[in-house]
Amino acid sequence: MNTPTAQLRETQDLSRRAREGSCDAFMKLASPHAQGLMRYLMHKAPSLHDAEDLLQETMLRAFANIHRYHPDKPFAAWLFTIATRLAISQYRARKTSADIDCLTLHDVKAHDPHEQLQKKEQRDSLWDAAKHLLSPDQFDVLWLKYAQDMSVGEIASAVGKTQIHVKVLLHRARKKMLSAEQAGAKIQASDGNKPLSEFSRGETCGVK
Amino acid sequence: MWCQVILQIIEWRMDSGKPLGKLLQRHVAHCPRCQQHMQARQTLADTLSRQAHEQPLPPGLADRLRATLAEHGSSIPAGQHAPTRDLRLPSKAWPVGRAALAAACLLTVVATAVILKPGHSKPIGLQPNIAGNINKAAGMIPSISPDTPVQFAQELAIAPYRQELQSLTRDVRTMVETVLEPIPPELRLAIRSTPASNRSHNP
Repeated sequence: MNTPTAQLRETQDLSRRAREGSCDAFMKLASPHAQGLMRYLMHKAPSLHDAEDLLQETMLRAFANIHRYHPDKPFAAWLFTIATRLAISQYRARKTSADIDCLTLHDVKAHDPHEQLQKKEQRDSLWDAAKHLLSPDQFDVLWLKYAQDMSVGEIASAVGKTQIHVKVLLHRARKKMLSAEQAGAKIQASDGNKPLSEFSRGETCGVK
Repeated sequence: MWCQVILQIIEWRMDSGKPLGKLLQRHVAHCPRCQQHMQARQTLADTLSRQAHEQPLPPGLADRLRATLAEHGSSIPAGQHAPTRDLRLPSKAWPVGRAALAAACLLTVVATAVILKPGHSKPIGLQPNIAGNINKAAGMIPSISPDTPVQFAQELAIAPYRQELQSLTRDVRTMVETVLEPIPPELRLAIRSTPASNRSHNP
């Protein structure tokens, strides 16, 4: 039976073995989160290759710093903290060393059919709209909430903010998403006709 | 206005993983606007969750990751995993930021002291208006204590809602604290210490 206590015990055991240098134990600990992390980094990095590089770097950093992980806390939140910081560092480095060669390289990468398919899928996704509409912090908390299904407490520990701040960020992110015409055009309510944007506008309430 | 407050409370509680309770459920059941909002929120959540997991991943990702870890991970000797540098991004601007924060606090205190200085014969610009408006706004907020709604509930013989009302009051107080956070503590203290009955009569 896979109870939370059993899961915690397993995580503690795996992290202890990883701390002793067991690569297999670390892989067992980290691999369930790799896909979610990769999808998150695909939104953060300029290309698929960069996202994969970031993922590998994240895993290596996590393995190298496994002694800093407290098994009582969620492993996914810890991994996301490392990934977010690496993505920010990479973004800063890219911003300072933006040269023409780099741009050319990305143009070449863009001809990769899988990447083109990937970019098309992203363009059609609501997450793409979120990326453009929301601030990086708002995007991060929205991703951790709905893509990773984390609680507010876990998100707060992952992004290094208070729970109240996370709730405020979530509220603002949802409000922006609901009121944006872009989102309204993409999602339709289950009754099929009313765009989401209409729901956030002020209407008189009949119930006192 | 009331629906806006209700929706804020609902979002606050749902994000905290708390149940809505009978009072809120009853309101949502009878309020078309809140129903629409809840439905829109749910649709947004479902769509975001679904689309996040639908994104295709590059083929062979797990294998490449395993190979990288096996290759580079084995080069990290056991017991020497600690890097020399902390993973937290150390900001060189941190001392400057602290100094700026201290200066801002000092400025706020001085400005507040000037605004609230008694016997200020010729107030500068909008200062009296600001203080008056804050008092006026504070007068519109009823002074809520955790017992107030409970007494009300007992009067109306709706004792089953007591626990929910107490919980709601706590939530509202937290939300009000969050809203009032940017206001200087001196002003907040002044607002709290003035009874609501007096506040409503002040200009």
